[in-house]
Amino acid sequence: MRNDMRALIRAFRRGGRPPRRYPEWLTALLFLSPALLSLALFRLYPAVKSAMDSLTVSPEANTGFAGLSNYRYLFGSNGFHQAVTATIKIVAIAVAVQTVSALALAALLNVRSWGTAAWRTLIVVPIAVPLAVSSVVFGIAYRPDGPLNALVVAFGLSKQPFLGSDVQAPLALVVALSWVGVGYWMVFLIAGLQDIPKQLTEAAAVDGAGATRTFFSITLPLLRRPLAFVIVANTVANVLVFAPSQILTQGGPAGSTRVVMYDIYTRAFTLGDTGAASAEIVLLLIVMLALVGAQLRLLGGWGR
Amino acid sequence: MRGCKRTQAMLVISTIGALATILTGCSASSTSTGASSASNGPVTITFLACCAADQTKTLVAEFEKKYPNITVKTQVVPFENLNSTVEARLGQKDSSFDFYEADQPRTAALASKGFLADITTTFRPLADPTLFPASIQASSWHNKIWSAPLWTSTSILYYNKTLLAKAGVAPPSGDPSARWTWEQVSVAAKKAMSVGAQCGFMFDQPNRFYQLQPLIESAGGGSGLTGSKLLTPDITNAGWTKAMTYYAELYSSGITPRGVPAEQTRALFQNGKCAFFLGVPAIPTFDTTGLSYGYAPSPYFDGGKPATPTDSFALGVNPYTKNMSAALKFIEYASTDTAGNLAAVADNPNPTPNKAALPTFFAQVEAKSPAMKGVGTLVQYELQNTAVHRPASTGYIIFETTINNAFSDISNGKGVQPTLAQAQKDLIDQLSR
Repeated sequence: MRNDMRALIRAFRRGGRPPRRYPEWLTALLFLSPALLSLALFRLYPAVKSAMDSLTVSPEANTGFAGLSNYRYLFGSNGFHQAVTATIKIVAIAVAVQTVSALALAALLNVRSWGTAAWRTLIVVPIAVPLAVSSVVFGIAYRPDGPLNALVVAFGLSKQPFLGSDVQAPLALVVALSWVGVGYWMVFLIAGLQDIPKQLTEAAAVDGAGATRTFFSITLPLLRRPLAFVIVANTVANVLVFAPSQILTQGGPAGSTRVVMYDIYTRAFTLGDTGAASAEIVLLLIVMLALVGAQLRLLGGWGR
Repeated sequence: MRGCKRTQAMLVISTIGALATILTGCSASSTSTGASSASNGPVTITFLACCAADQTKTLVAEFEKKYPNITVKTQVVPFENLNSTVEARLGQKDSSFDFYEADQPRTAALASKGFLADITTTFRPLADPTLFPASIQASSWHNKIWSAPLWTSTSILYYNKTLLAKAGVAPPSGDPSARWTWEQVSVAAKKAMSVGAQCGFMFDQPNRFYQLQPLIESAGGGSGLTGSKLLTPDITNAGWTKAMTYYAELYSSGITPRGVPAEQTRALFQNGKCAFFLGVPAIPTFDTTGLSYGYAPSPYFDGGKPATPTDSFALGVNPYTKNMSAALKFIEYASTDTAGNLAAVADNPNPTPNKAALPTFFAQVEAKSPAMKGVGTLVQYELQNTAVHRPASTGYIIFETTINNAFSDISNGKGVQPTLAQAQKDLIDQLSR
């Protein structure tokens, strides 16, 4: 009986598992190679190439090495200052608006009642629309003689310039971005809300806590982790926004929507200044890495 | 043990081999397009066209009829993206298109970057006897020809007869020696608005240097680029300030509506909403709405000299093309061949740069549109006497991009002097590179 067992195990080992000829790391590498290769080809190579270009491609590079001249030029350039200011402004407003709205909607739609599923679907649907397409649609809405102004006039107000004013244009962009963004980030927060054990809110209710108190003392602290993710990932997403600036405003008026990505694009493909564009990419990359680093830290520590 | 190592080595080698195959596969597919031009078999050439496919539809159809062995595939890029597309694709030495619409004022910039093939040897003998010298000049840089002129252009002042009659304004004269001043246009436009016109005056292409350079030149501001290489910006002088102040007032007074993109300006005039419209001659859609309109020469500033825009698109050959001879055949047909150039102007309101095609072109225009009677004479007068070329500078694209943004800011209500001063500073920065 025992011998039979051993024979069976031996047979099982022989048939069920392939003979171990190569070490595990090699097998792993083989399976990972398509992913690693595309990572190297489409992420790593462009980053390294940009870093190289930022140090070598420059009108001042007579010897093939330009040092930090591209960076010096960039820091002195009005366009770059505009780009940094516009990006910080748009990202700050967009992240605040989107996170708060997404959280409010998530809290609202987490309550099981009639029509919740339909509302959730309606809010999430814009995710399926590419940002370029929604930008075109918003471009029509924002036209001086467009539907939004018709609405404004119907309420007895005067026509608004929207994309024609350097005060309103960044806000108009935030609205276009949030139309897609709010639904997207809401999904993560709803998931977070549903992870909160019912017993805790029930216990709070037993202790006499109202809805507001429960939200701030129970829900919000337990939502830290998904919230931290949403804030950081949303920041990253908004820093990398390009389509609305290109389609709606071409960076104007007065550079108020000249976000960093649009500035890089203009430098590289309109002005033909590859060196400065590469330097700006490198700077953007450093900021992105810092943001992602912060995200990993927050998710690892703060939210635990 | 040894067998195991050999298997490992083979695995590594085959992995690298697979990767190499993928890589070479990628590069092979990106470079092999079309048949070789050396063969006489059927060839497909790719045309990177600007703006709208129907602008060159007749041209492509007629060419394919004449050369049945050559098929033309058209890729269309919007005007705003043409430059960046060309820059991105030719910067990567992309050979997947064979020729493209090269804006004539960009000739120097494109040629200096190596984005245009030098066509002087084959093209000059055909061009010299057939094309207007000004058009050849606009396609030239450093005494070489880099593109084949497709169209030329000018501006005329359209007016809405109904609106002017209602306002009691006598229409402007068609005689170039009695042309209106910009000051007169503003006064008449305001009168028309007081009797219900929604817009007093509209530019065909607002916020674009092409359209605004004549105003600046007429105010004595020059082209905006000076110096022996035309790389020194000069946009804060009195002429620029005067023209831009007038431009700002058109918008701030409501004569010209803000925020109308170039693609939508014609619809405003064509639907009877504007009293005046400055644009290219013979816009066919103006005859589709029963609009009663007339035309007059382009206005000028009181005390200044008359100036009109000129030049247009030309066809340039991709220096990396694999179908050089077929591409050359196309651009020669479109430009120097009389029938070919008539086909090129068939779908576009811009006038022909071809001397032999000119009488037929204007006869056709006038036959199609009774309001355009006699426009050929005016266009020829403007091309010979008042046309101003844009500066043939290697920095033109940078100049145009920056200056168009400044125009846009001014039309949106930003101060003229600070905007021009900032643009001047930006241009000095950018052109120094």
